[in-house]
Amino acid sequence: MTPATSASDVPAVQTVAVEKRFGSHVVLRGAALLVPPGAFYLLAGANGAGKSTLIKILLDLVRADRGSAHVLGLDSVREVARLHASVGYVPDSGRTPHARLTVERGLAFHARHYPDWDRAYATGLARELAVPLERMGRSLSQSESVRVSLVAALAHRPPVLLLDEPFAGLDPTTRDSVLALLSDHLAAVQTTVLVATQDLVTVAPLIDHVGMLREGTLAVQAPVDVIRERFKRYRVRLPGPWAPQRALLDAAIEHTEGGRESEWAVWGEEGWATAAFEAAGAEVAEVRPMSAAEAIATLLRAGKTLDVH
Amino acid sequence: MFTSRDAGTPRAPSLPSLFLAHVRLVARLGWVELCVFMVATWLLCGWAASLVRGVPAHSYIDRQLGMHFMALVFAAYWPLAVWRDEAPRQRSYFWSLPLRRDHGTLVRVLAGLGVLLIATVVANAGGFLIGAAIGRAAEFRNVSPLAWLASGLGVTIVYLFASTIAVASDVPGRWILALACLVYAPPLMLPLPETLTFAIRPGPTWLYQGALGFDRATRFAVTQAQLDSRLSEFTPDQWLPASLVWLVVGAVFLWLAAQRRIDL
Repeated sequence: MTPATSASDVPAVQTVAVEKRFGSHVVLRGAALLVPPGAFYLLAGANGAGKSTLIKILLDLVRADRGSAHVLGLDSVREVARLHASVGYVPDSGRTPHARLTVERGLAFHARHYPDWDRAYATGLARELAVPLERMGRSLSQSESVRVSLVAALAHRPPVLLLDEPFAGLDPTTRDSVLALLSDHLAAVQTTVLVATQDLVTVAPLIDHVGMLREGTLAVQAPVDVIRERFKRYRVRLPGPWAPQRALLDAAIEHTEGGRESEWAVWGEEGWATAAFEAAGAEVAEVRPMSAAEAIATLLRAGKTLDVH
Repeated sequence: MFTSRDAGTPRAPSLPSLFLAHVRLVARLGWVELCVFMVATWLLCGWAASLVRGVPAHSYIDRQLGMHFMALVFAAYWPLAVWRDEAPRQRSYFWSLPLRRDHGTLVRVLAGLGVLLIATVVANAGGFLIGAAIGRAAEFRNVSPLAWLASGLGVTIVYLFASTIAVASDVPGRWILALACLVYAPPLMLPLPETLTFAIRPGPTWLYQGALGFDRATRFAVTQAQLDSRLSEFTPDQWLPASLVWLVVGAVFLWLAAQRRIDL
């Protein structure tokens, strides 16, 4: 049995060649996720791309047809109990421990499963998130369920957090509270976070790694710094009819046609891209780095698979 | 509020602590049904006791009243309360707790069994007291310890089979009701021809009426034992072998059901 560890040589979260189909619909085809220890990893992708399925495979809530999944070196099938003890999980739309218990009693039941549960910390989290402790689980709104799930996921200070759409249904004020609380938690507890969300703008300040699921595989997987370094917008003046190199076209994620001026989003070293434009007779008027959210959104719109190495 | 701490290897929960947590959960989920079961048992005991005051001893009057089915019916129903709102495809929370799925399932089922047996004992004890107060005191007080064992085993067997269905099926209520009607139609003496009622039971007759039959394994459950315990025929060889066989069969079925893999 592999010991649970936060040692830097073991990926915090890893899937190897995971395949999953539901009936004739193939959701994942060889997904190879790699989340380094301590990372805040955004798992991005369109609706139905397989983000939730991949997270559920990590927890063995869904069994992969092929491949394997590991959290802190623990196999998701053979060591599921220890794996679950190491994880805080917020499912899509949240959930409460039991529909027919008050939130307070539900959390007390939940706490019995985690010897490291910090009652005072849980109380503080519930207060910060304005969790309605006296309400029955079945009467909670989606936003309230998500907040209850966050308390349940954080209060035992797990080394890994798996957050599936944690901002869904939250109003802007609550979303900011959740973000601030997550930031405080991460500052105090050594934690690896894997978050699947469409809300790129909200998580952008926190993320340091990104993976993008497309057609069942991770089309892009890289540190945010690398993406921002290699992925930039170029405003170029064109010499009239021109024929850029094939390599430049391959590296162009998207471009706009605007008469004599055009804007290109290109994946590659800035020096190489500039030289490629100039070799084709274009003049590079401006090179603009993108914000993390813009870069990710642009990559999501594109249909390309990138080799970050 | 926040304190800095390295996240090391999380500790595993202890099974006794988890079992107690699930016992409390089950009791909270089903306290209304538990109260109804116990009060109904006491009322029936009181009624039966008032009736036997005027009839000869060793009467099977409780069987005629169908009293001994009270606990069996409740044992068949109880898994529905134990797993309420947690049908197999609604167990994403339950199955994300730090337990193997089958272990978690068995902990919950055993917690439900513990609560059921406690409720049965309380219902029986109250029934004895009421019976002693109203009816022939000596008959109700002179209950063999074997009667308690027979009662507990009968209830446990029915609970295990009903739990098997509740653990594995998304619509356990329908299956339990259908099977209960088939199995108990003859003993309940429904207004149907006897040949028909016995014919609709699933499986061969020896499953029910042989030396190791299901009827024999469960027939001394609860209130029937209160009166039958005084009879000379109430000896362990009448029911213990059958009870043990069906206990093992029920446990195996439950274990198999707990292994059922369901993606969420």
